[in-house]
Amino acid sequence: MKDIYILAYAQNPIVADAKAANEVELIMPVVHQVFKQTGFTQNDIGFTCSGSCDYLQGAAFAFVEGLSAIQTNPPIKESHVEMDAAWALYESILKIQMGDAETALIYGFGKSSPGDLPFVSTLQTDPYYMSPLWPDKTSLAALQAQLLMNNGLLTKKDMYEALTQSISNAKNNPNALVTAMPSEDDYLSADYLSSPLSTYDCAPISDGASAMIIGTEEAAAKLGLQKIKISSVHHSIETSNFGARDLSTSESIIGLGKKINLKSFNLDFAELHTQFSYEIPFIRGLLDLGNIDINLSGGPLAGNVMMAAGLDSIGKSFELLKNSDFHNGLAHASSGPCLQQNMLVHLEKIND
Amino acid sequence: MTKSVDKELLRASFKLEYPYERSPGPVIGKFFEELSNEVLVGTKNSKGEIFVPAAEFDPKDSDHLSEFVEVKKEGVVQSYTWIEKPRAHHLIKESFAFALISMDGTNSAMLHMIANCKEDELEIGKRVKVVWNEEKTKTIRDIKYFEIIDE
Repeated sequence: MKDIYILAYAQNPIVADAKAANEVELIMPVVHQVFKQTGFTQNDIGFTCSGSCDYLQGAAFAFVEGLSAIQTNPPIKESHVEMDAAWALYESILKIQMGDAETALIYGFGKSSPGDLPFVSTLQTDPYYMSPLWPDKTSLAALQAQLLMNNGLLTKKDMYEALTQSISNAKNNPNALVTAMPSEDDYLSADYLSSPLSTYDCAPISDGASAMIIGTEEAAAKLGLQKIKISSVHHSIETSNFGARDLSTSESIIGLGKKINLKSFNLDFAELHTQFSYEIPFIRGLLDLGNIDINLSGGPLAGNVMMAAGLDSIGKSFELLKNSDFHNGLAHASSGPCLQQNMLVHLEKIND
Repeated sequence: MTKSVDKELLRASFKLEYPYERSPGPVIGKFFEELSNEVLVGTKNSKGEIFVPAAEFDPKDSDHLSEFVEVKKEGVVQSYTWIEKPRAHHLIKESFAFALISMDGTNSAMLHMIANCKEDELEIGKRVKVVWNEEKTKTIRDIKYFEIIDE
């Protein structure tokens, strides 16, 4: 296996409504920033992969238009995942491991503001047994939160603490969207959208884009930057049969914690792709994270660009390792209702 | 500048839908066929576990499932979420709940809705029964919703 390093990462300021700015205009600035950080041009990139969701734009193959943000002449090796860009990163890692490329450019983008996101997400559920009933994303998450509360694994206070910690941490991220701190009274008295979740428990509707460049040891050495290595990356998915899953736990997340040998290194922090407040204490328990700092960037509760927020967990972990004394970071990405699919990434600072 | 651009934005109407039809196949098709007869069936694996709604594949070992069994039209609430104010696409316009309901004798749960009750009447473990839609479409909507069994 080749050692693979993150070479650059950039995130657009997350906004509630990008208005007339289209997806290409959201992607271009971040792609230019990662090129600037590395000194690369598109000609130095061996493989390009993006993550986005055509349902957000409401047209088949809408992702193809995103390619207008990068130089595609002369022709490039390129791919797309209809998933969070964390999985575009995963595909890029495979490409490099197979020897097809030395470097890869990854970008993810989402403009959720034009539609009704909780219901757009419904279209990604089982088309026979689920989506005809129109279960929105918030209601599906609420089924899990309710079960955890019923089982004594979660309280509203846990959720409030996760929320306030996230918003307090958002000051570390100049691109964060939400910085206003709700009082405990406001939080506890808020009407539920879908019990036990109120608007406060849900990540905000966000528009934006992020980009990353990764490369082999040789590519990293040439740049002479602080080396941040992708030491381990695994993902797994639970059954698409929603009613057959045990929502009181997560086989996927527990299994991944073992696969990346979470107990074999001294973890300094975790960046989790948690789109609902309850998921923070839930995953903390599943992975036995103890008092480890979670979402020092504010995480998705402070700004959640669909199809980029998972890549952002990895990118924010990269930035934190680069700019602090920390050595080991854990990043998490997720997809599907109630954390159906997950990815865990162990990032490590390598001192030469 | 920005303002004048906003005014001139082109707008087009858009309906959120799948613009194509799906074939349900032999397992889901049979489940829907039986629903239209007001009968609830599930599929059974080699260990005797029963999945309702009928699963084409075993969720654990992915074995193909083809043995059907009829189950009772009553079950137990595994989890629920109360929606005081239904939103845009919700099918029920008064307060209702989405719920995961495990039909009696089965090993999985069905996502559906519970109506005709108050929030404080609902809890995990509550027993509920099927209410049928009069008009059948051979879809999951042939079950109109579930309601609490008075005990």
